[in-house]
Amino acid sequence: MSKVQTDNSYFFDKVMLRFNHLPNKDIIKVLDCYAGNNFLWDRVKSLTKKNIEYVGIDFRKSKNNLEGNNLKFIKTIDIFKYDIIDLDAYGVPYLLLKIILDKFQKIDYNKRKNEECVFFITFIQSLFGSLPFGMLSEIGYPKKMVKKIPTLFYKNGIEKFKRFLSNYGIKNIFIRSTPDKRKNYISFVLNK
Amino acid sequence: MEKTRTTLDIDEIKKHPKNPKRHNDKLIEESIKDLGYVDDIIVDENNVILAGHGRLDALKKLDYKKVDVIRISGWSEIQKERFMLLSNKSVESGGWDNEKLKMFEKDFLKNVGFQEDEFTFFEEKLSEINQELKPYKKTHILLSFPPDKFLKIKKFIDEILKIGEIEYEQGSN
Repeated sequence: MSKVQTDNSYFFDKVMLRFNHLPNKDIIKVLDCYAGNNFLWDRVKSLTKKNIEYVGIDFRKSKNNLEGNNLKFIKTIDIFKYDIIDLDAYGVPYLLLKIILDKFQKIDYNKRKNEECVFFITFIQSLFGSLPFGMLSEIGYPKKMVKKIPTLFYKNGIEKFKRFLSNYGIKNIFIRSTPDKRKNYISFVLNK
Repeated sequence: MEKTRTTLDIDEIKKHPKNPKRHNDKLIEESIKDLGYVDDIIVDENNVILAGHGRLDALKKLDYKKVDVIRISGWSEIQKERFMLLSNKSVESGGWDNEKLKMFEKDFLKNVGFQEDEFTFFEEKLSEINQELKPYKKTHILLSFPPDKFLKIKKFIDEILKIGEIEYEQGSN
């Protein structure tokens, strides 16, 4: 896990983003990779009549958490069992998201169930915040180039993150952004 | 100062003549009825209340006969009055963390005394936009040069930009 801190600002916006984009199923399986104390999904559960089967991952102990490093867990968990994958990070959850998106890209076309998996991502870039070299490299800015003048490449992080998503075939997102575009709450759907 | 715990007949407990604090009597009564008498009244050596006037009224309404109290002995009158005011003022001036309040359900908060007009923080603050992501397929070249060469280079950049679909950003380290 890259960050232990969780983002509790705009809590109600995050709740409503999730509530508005719950899959159209009676039983919804949720994998929450930055689970914290489970407050966010406890709140979503209180608003919906749907049956939410929830598993969280966090270093923090909590009633429904797998306790430990989400990067390690995600490599062994069968993520395709879940209808929702939640990455409510305090920062840029690039590494974890890349592992997950790579798994989705590798699904054998003939084995696709044609079911939807809804993603919820929190992307936060602080005022002088850096962006992961890996993410920049994937959208065409190699580390050598970025290192020459990092501030040029750290500008407008959310637009670069969207390009990263687009590279994985994500064509449509729902997004709530703060006026300064530093905090962004995103939802999109991928087929599994 | 000495602090002891004791049990008094409810009629032995006296209100402080200068207590200025008003209370939500109904809320305190409901709390004691629902959860029991948890937070002991604090009295001085003469059984005069230093903290807990609202609790005394509620306990009388609920027909309590005996009441556990914390007795503080050895304070001057000034210290007693200071504590009586501070114990209320320190709680009152703390306020609420709205982001954390939002973790509770509205009805739950209403049941513990929050009013409808206090719930503006439950409003969504950010608008949600549905955005189409278009593939961004471009090649990037980073040109680094000493600042005094800028004018020589600029004419070439101007020519290049005429080609179209070319983005140009500049920065310095």
